[in-house]
Amino acid sequence: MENWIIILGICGIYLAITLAMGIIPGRKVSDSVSGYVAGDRSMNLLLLYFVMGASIFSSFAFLGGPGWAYSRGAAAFYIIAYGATGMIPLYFFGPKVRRLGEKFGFVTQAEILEDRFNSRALSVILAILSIVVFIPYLTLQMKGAGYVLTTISEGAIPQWAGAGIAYLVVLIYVFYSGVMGVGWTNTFQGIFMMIIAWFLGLYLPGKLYGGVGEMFAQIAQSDMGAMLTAPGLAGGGATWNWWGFSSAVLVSAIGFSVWPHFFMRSFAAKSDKTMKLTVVLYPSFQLFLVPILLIGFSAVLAYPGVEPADTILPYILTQLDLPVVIIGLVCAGTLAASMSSGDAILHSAASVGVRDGLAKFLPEHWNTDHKQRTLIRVLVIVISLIAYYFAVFSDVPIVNLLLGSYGGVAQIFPLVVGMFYWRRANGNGALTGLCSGVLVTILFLLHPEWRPVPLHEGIYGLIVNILLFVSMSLMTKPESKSRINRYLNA
Amino acid sequence: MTRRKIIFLAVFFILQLSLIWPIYSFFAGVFPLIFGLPLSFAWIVFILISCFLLLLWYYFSDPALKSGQPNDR
Repeated sequence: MENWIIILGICGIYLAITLAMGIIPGRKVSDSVSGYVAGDRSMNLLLLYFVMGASIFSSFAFLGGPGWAYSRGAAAFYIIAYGATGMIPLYFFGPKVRRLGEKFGFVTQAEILEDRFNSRALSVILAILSIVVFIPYLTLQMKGAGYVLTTISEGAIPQWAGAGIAYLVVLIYVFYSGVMGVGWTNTFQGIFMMIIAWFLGLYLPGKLYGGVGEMFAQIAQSDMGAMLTAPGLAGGGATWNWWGFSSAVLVSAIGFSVWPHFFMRSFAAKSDKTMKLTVVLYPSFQLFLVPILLIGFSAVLAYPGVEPADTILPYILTQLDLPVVIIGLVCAGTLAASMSSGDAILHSAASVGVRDGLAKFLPEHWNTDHKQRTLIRVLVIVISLIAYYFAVFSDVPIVNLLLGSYGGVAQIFPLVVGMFYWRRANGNGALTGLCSGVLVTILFLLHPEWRPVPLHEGIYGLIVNILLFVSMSLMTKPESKSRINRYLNA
Repeated sequence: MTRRKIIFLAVFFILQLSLIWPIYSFFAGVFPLIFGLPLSFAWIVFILISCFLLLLWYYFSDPALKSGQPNDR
């Protein structure tokens, strides 16, 4: 039997287990929007921990992470750095968001902001912003999955079929089970990819150099040694500067806790305690990036000059004489990374699209709980198809869209702080701040040469955002007392 | 603001600066290798673990934890 058939067999078993784990929990939640979007607010620590963790570790972590370490050295530590503190704000917001959600029935980020700032426009803008960011994100996950299956089958499974098979599985369980399907599959996928990552991260340096320490000592003594000094190398191979590194870490850390698909999991938490413990334990998930980066470093001296850098992990797999079962498991692990982010994004995009976008324009009799749930399911299919189109048939350079997204998403952060801690924050301020912040970010993303100092474009967005948010709020009437107190005392 | 919260915020601030310029720039070199990792890498892992310990302390020192539900405002 040919090797690739065994490898695909292992991927097939993985997909079958995922499908089963995704469908079974859907039978237990209620037949409502709250059940579908927030799991009836019943997620325990184990589920929430893995949903939060695995949604972040996407195919970017599995393919891009080693790629960064391989091509840019210490610059890759940025991925660990922003996650170290980025989750902490959720320790404070999370329980408040959860309690308010339980009391007033919110299930998305835009809903709670809309209520605090008394602005329907805000909700619609957030819905558009979320979907504009989510579709390229999902597209990249699909491309990653398709790429893995095509590479290991030596081209026998074309890109369209690879992405199609993996995401058909995702589509089925997200459609059927909603967030609980995402939760259970992410637990399985999370444990699976952690094992694979640690195995590879320790095995490769050992096999190629005789150990992690030996590997770094050899890199340091080679002419690639400079890459290990922080902040590492910039994209072109020149040294990265502290401005760039520090501001990128800050913007990503600020944006981290307010990513809509991430933030809205607070509504699914069973209790305040669950929410807080999830944040406390989160750094243990972040540690899983250490072996991921070791994989990339292991190739620096062994396999120089591989282009593009993102393909370094599959490249190593084809070069080394590994047992075929292990290659199969690694491929399934990469699929797990892609799908565990893809499912969360797909689910959130559809939920946000209906609750915060579509539902605002529908006539009353279309807005019953049951019909909304049906609409969300329809949108799950529509969004899958759009992302699939971009992943397989379109040549639009969609990565560029995603690059700008961290700066854009970070603009939500001042609003969330204002929502809970600033009495005078009002709808006019929030709208002006958010819109101008996003526009400034996009402007500097498109014209990096206009920046006075080489800071991440999101920082400029945040400065303008906060200035306008504060000044507009102070110049116009505050929201009603009862509304403000609801949030300040949450 | 309680003393506990002030300590938390102060340590959080220091940890955040340790991940970027200026504090990180003092630990940006390659040597010494710590547990086989270059100093620049080991430092980031060390700060990550410190963040974890900070949160752990903050969670378990919550006065409301003993009375059942922790409810930090």
